[in-house]
Amino acid sequence: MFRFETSGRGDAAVLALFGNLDALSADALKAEVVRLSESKTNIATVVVDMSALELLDSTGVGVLISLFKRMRTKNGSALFAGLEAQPREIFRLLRLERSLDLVATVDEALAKSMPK
Amino acid sequence: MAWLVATDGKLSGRRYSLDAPCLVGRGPYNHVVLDDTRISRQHAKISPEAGGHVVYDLNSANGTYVNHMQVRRQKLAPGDQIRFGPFSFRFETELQEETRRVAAGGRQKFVEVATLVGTEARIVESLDAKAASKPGFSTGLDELEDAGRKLQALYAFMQSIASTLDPAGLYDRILAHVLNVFVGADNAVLYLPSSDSGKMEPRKLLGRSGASIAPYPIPDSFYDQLVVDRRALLSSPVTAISAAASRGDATPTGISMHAPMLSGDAVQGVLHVQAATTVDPAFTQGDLDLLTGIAAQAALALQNVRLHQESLKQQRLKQDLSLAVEIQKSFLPQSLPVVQGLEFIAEYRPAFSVGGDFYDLFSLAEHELGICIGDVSGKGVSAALLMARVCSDIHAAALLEREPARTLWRANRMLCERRKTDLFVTAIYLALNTETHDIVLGNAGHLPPLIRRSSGKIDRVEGGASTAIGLFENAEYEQIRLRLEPGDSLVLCTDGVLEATSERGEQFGFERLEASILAGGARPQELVKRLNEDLSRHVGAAPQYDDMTLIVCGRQAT
Repeated sequence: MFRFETSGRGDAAVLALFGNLDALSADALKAEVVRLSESKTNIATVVVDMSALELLDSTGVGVLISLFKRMRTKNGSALFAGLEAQPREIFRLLRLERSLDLVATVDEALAKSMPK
Repeated sequence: MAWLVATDGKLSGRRYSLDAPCLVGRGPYNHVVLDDTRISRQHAKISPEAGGHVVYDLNSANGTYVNHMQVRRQKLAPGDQIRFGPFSFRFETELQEETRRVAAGGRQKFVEVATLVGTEARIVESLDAKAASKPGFSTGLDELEDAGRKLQALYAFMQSIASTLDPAGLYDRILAHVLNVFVGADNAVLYLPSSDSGKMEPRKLLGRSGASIAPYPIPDSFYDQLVVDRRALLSSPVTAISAAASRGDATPTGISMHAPMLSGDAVQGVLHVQAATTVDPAFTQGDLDLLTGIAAQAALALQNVRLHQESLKQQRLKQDLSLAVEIQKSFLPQSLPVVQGLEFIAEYRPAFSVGGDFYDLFSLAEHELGICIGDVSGKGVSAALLMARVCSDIHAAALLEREPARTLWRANRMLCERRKTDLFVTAIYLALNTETHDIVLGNAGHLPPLIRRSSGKIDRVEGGASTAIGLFENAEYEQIRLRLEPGDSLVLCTDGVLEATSERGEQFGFERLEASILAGGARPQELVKRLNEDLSRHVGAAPQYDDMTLIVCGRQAT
């Protein structure tokens, strides 16, 4: 099973993922990714909370990368928080930590995204 | 001008023009449709040929008769009676006066191009008839005469068309490139088969700017011949010059090259390159060779574009294609390299009819092999299509770059430039020196390779690792140097092997994989056999969810 929850904090959105994000569930998330990263929204940062994500496959990775790229295109950012277990392993294997912002917790991500 | 005139039945009095090849049969695509069960779907053909018209029986069930004699091929004389099944016709020709009138509004296919009465293309020389090559004249291609230069021109052409996926854009690029290469040419025309009759029709014409030459019309029969013969031809117009001159028209001049665009058995189209000059031979044998090469490349590109469009359609219909299976197989190596002292094994098992895994082993230089293995994220047709692209990208990149890290870097740039989906690719690419057994390896987000050492231990190669391909266009790539000692085996696999799941939901995993490889022994064949046994015991009756690919490269023990 897969589900997600989106909540707003200022100009940041927190996208929390639960369960298995794979080829079967990625389409549902894709629509949300498109919505969050549309240029007309005033969301500057999306923090993806992955602490409750149990399984992530390559299709799921594709959707998360597209969020990262779309946010960058509109001069915003996407951060990935709370990676554990298998999702952490696939991020490591794909060497994504080089290009993505990985943080331990959502709070840390929000602190990081605040204007200094 | 000639006609086929119906002489009885309900068609009586009808006249069918025979200026172009005319198909007769029951099928709706024929020029003369005869709706009767005694008529074969494609019954006969009447073609204008040098010096007259010829009727061909197309293996019809009930035959073709000229003046009551059954014929297979018969030249027609004015007034001949022709019978197909119950239908009778008369072959008629007209005087030159009549001819002019009809031609004025006639069958000309080029837009804004003058038609000349009686103009016909004649084959002056064909590729294999013209063995002795003439020196180059006005083409400026003298420097292209050597094979290296020709290859360069071809390679540039491949590069320029490789990334095009829309047909119109591709047509333009092909023609522009042709004009670029053949500087003596004034026009380049792309002929493609019409969707209903399959006849070659001019689809796109590109003229050199400022040039005012009109292409001379090419009779259908000419291209029918080209399609049958499958070889490039030179032609020049043979004209009733006096007839043209008497009407004050320009005399058609020039010389043309025609090359069939062949891919496999299919003729995808014809490239026609035309020069206005009549004084010097505008094209040489070398040019004809080069055009032949370009036409072959263009055919491949055209096929790719069609395949791409086709696949998009199929994807929408959520259908798996047997076509894709064939195409996909064609991207995998048909045979493995044979090298003294080395043994190669490759196994590929797609989970569905088409897969996203790929591998390739190819020669880079003397004593140097390129080996790659990869896995496209996602499954089914979209993954298979991307796999096909990436396979050829890596191959092309490997030939351009010496270092595997640069090869992956270039393949990544190529993929990012035209990436439209969220799909990406993990891959290992390595160059193996078959004399020193040195390996330089780059790993783009793929599972680490394993080396079974002759000592009976396993090295997991974690180095030389970088980001998967197709995600970030500015990604940097690394590489690591390794060596295969006598009795060592390098094992590359995709995650389908690692994630092969048992009926209890347990994955095969690294530990089992490594134990199996150790148990298998030093000989690659035994190693693979043991691994397959262990895998099928583990999986049992559980279905295969992911593609599995395995490459083993073993160096003989001394």
